[in-house]
Amino acid sequence: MSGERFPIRPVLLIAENFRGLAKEHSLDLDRELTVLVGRNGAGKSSLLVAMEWCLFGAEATRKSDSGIAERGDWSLAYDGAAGDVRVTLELAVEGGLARLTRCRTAGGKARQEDDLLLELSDEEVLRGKEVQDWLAWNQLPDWKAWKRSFCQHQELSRARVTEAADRSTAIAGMLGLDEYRKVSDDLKKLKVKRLEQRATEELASLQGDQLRALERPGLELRDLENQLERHGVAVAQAGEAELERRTAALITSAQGLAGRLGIDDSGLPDADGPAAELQKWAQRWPTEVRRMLDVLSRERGELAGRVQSLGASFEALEPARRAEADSRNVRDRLATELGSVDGLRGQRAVLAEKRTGLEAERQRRDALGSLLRDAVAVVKDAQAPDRCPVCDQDRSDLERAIQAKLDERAPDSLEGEFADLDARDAKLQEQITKLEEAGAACETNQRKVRALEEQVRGQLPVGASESASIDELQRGWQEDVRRLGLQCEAGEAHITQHRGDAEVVAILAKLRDARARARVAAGELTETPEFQELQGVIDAAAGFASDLEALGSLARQLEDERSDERIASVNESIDSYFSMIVGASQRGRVRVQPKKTATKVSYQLVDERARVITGLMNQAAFNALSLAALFASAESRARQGLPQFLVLDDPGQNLDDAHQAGLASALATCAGFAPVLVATIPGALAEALSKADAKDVRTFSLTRTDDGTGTLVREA
Amino acid sequence: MKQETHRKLEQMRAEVGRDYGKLVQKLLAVAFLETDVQKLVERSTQGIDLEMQIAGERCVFEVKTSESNSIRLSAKDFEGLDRLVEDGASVYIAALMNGPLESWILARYTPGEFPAGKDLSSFPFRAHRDSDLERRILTAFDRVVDRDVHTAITRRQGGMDEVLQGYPAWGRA
Amino acid sequence: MNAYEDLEAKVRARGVRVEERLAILAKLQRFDGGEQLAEALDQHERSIEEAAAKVRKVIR
Repeated sequence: MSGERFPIRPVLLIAENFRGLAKEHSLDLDRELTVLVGRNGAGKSSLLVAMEWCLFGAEATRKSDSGIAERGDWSLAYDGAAGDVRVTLELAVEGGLARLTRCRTAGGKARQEDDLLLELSDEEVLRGKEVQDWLAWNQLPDWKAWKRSFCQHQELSRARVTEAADRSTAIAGMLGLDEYRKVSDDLKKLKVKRLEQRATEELASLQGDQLRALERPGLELRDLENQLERHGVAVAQAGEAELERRTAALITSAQGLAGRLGIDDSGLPDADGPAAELQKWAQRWPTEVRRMLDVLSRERGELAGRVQSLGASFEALEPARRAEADSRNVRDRLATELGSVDGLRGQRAVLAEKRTGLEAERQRRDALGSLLRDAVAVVKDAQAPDRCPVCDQDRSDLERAIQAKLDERAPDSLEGEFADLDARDAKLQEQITKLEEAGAACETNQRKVRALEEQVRGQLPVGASESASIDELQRGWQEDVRRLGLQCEAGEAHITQHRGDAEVVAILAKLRDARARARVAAGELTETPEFQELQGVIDAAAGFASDLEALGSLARQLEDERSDERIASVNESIDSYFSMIVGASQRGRVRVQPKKTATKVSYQLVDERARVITGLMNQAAFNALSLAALFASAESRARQGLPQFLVLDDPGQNLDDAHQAGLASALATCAGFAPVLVATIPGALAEALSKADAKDVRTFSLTRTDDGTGTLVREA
Repeated sequence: MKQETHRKLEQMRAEVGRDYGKLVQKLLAVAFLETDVQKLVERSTQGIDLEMQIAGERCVFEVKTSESNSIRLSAKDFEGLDRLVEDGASVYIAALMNGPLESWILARYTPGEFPAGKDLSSFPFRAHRDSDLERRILTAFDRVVDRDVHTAITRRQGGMDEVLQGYPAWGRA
Repeated sequence: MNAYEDLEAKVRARGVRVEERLAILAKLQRFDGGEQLAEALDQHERSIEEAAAKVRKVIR
């Protein structure tokens, strides 16, 4: 994906509470060459590493990921800082700026996920994985590419020339062959051999299975044939035709029963349908029939109950009606004989009045008797019994006369009338009771008849005429009960028959399959559709594998061809930077040599006699070569329009003053292609950089604060 | 390929030893002759074992059989095949591995598609197999083995040459 | 000419399984192409396993 692209570059770095940097520090990077000059401990490395942490997070700071042992013990936060650790890198992108910010909350653990966000110029904000994708999409480097082609660390400076993979990848990048290599690498990751291995293993396993199947005795066949014979099926007839015939018969029989019982037969299988489905149906079918028989049986029971109940109700109705008529006759006859209850009650009232009169007479008589008895006593007690004590006249018979009067008025003389009245009243009461009882009996019978009639009506179907059709109805119902009974019997018989037939069909199907397997085992497996399908999918997988391998091979072939075409310019570039640093006398000393194998193209750095050059170098030359490779790589990437910037931490280490001057010159040259941020101690390199022939240089001096606790960044 | 064919080939392998590959090649040639190929020639130059005209097209076959389920083609083999492709021939690798589930794979050869000097299973050839051509000889090969394997076992290459000579399309290089 | 165009020309020149290879090349250019191809590879492997299981059923 090379071609004209906007060269994404960093323009501003803001670090807060990061490593040696207390509080917030910002660094304007919008220059070709930015130089940080400061003594050891001033915070130069912290600023450079802040950029790495912002871009790569834990990868750049964990020992296991970074590949830098000393970073394993790092504390990210400034010692004693209370706030969050936050680094923002502002990037110039096509159409504006993008702000990448990574933040770790105060006191956060080392394993804690950092907050990562990217604010784009159109106000869109991306977070986490989206940011990673954006960076990758815009071809910003991953950590490995960064180490190879973007930075120079004291800890890593040699890997890009000594580590074969790093060196080859870096040189491939210089040759503009990243994409070819990426295709090869992406394809290598796919582990295409897995398909061949899987296919080979499966075929070997099947081959083993088939060999075992070939050895398997015909026990299974014999067992199935014996089972058939027990069911009365001759082995000679136990073929496909018999299976088809019996299957069809099984289904036809089921259809017949379904029609008879009113079962939905849409679920019945086709006789030529899949054997497994047929088997399942054959097992399920008796249950379905049984369910229907249960319904029918319940229906039959209910109907029989209704016939019985209607019969009983109807039988009870006639005697009840007769009893009701009899009681009505008795009631009517008594009424004729005795009159109405009200009439009799009237007569009783008359008698009661008479009795009341008699009661009054008796009381009057009782009072008179009392008087007379008093009079007799007076007469008896009188001194002249023959004389009236009142009028004093002679009344010798007075006592007798009073007694006679007393006797004449005695209450007992009324008893006969009372007795007569009571006798008449009792008779009337008796008659009333008879009439009432007859009426009550009649009503009870009427209610009973009405209840029975109601009962019968309740059992009749809607619209049936009670009187006319009870017999008919009962006959109809009895017929239904009989019919349902027959259906149930037929269903039961069908289930028994079906089970037997289904078992035979199942055995026949098993026998067919076993015979097929026996045939397959005997050598026809490769002709089965299943084996043909396997062949098809293995062929397809082989095609896919072949495509992936061919593309990888073509990518390597092309990388090889193109490297031949481009190698001269890369040689020139590395050699130029190398000789710039170590002196013109070394011009023509370094070149790249490709090494091709079937699976990869690698690159070595050799001298003019094709000897591996790293084995011949002193420390200074080694560092110079590493830096030359870095600059050549940066220049090449920048020329290809890829995002490129360089971050160098004290690159002048191990170089003498002359070499440092050369390095300054190389840095200035490289800065013309890609922005460079370089940190160095005051000295020859800083001096040389200040005089370097670069158009766009900015130098910052970093010092410790007076109290020694922070860093001061000032433009020099 | 039928199980019975495998069984007979195994029997032949046991009987004929090092002649096995050559005899299988001749049985394959007979199978081709039983289909409608025109002018089939057996050669022993680098990269060609059988050459024939199929529907007017020049087809050459490098025949490879294996006891270990892998075959190897040397850089020299490939050079020969590459030359044939350059000459305009349709070049095939006919591979028969060992095992009851194996069958002939007739793979169209294109330069650069197969690595030289490596043990190759049937897998890489599958991507380039010519199924029509395979179908053409499949039943014929079963039939030919059934019929001629006895000749191959008892009378070896001489006997098979006689069988081949019985076909009008057969010709010697 | 970028690497993908270069490869496309090579694939066409070889003339073997051209459509299939160009389709894979197109995937390789995609951001998630590697994942798609890995999934396709897995699918082929699964297909082999499934088809082999069916054959095994026939044998057993």
